[in-house]
Amino acid sequence: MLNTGERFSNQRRMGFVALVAASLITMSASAAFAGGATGGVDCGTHPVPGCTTTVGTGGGQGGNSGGKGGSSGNGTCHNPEGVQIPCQRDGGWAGADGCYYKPIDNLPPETIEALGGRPAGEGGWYLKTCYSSLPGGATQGFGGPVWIAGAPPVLSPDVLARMARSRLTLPKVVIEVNPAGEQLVNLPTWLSVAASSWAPQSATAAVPGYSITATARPVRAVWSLGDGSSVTCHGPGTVWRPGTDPLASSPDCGHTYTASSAGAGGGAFTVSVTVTWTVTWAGAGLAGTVPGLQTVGAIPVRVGESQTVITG
Amino acid sequence: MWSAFVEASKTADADSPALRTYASADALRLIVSSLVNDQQLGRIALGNVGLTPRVTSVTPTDAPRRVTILDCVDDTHWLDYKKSGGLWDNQPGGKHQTTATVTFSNGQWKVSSFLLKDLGTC
Repeated sequence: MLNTGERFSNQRRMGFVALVAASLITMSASAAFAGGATGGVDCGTHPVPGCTTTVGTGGGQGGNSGGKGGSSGNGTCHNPEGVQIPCQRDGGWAGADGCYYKPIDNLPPETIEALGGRPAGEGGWYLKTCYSSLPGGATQGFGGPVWIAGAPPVLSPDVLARMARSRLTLPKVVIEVNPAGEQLVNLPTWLSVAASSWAPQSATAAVPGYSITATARPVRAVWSLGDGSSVTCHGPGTVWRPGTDPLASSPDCGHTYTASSAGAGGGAFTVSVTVTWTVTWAGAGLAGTVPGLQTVGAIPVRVGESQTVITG
Repeated sequence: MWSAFVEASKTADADSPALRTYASADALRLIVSSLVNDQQLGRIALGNVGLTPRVTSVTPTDAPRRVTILDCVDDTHWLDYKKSGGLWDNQPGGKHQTTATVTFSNGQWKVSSFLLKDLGTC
């Protein structure tokens, strides 16, 4: 069970990071806190977990590459001293440094800025938690968000799920509107995307022992009609077929223009659609959800006045 | 800064604008880091913090741009809770000697760094 101690056990350590980062020039300050009870958090002489709560210093310390720690591939995990440790704790997976990593999705821009910005290059944000022993056998976890450059620090199912997600190739959005060609004011327009644009997609990432498959499924199409209106549809829409009443509205995804596009740029409205996909993953007896994806398509659509209808 | 932190920690709100009003640089990074950690763990903090700040240096004295503050931050009544309810653990809070640097930059005074020491240090 996680026993983090009270709130400031984390901050004491991180506070030290802040101080060191802020005033490495002030050697006396660093020395003053090196002894006594705070010696264990002296990031200057004995880097400990938690000293990496500063962005950009986490890379290379975690990971399954190098070091004696991490997962040995036979289902056991070890810290850098070779002592066996649980492979998972509180949702994180053991890295080579003996700390635990869990990917963090969707950090807001304000958070990333406060953390020092997103470093350039490949990498990802992880919640890093390290545990230390307390007298009496309890353990104390501390940590925070870190940027890990390059390869992921652990190859846990949820990390593989994100790798699989990044390998998904979603189809191009092909828009089909009916009537074909020019639309007419007051005549229902049927909106749809091609079946190929609305087909679930899968991709897999694997390590020896197990694989994770991520599957993207389209759930929503938000249409912007170019005349200021928008329509949300929960399917690809229906293609109008000959024999259907031309005055009927689409049963599930349509729009009726009330103004011509003559005044629009190029004499046409830009009709765009954003398809939202949910992405789920499964494998290794586990399943979960990762952030969704979107695909976008657009076409110009001319809308004429209805008096141009002569032939029907 | 502390009241903004106390407020933000009620919901583990790492994006709290108030925090950015009172804290910058390493101080902000530290607090945001802590709140993101709370968010990920499903942890919040409730109650209030006790402070007894006093200024220990002002530089330069004629046109101050940097002030250091010595404080005794008391989290006896500012404790971690599970977001789902109930105390996070059975650890007591207490007093922590804290030094903070407040810096004048871009026309504003903000806490730019702080160091909070162990429980029972003041």
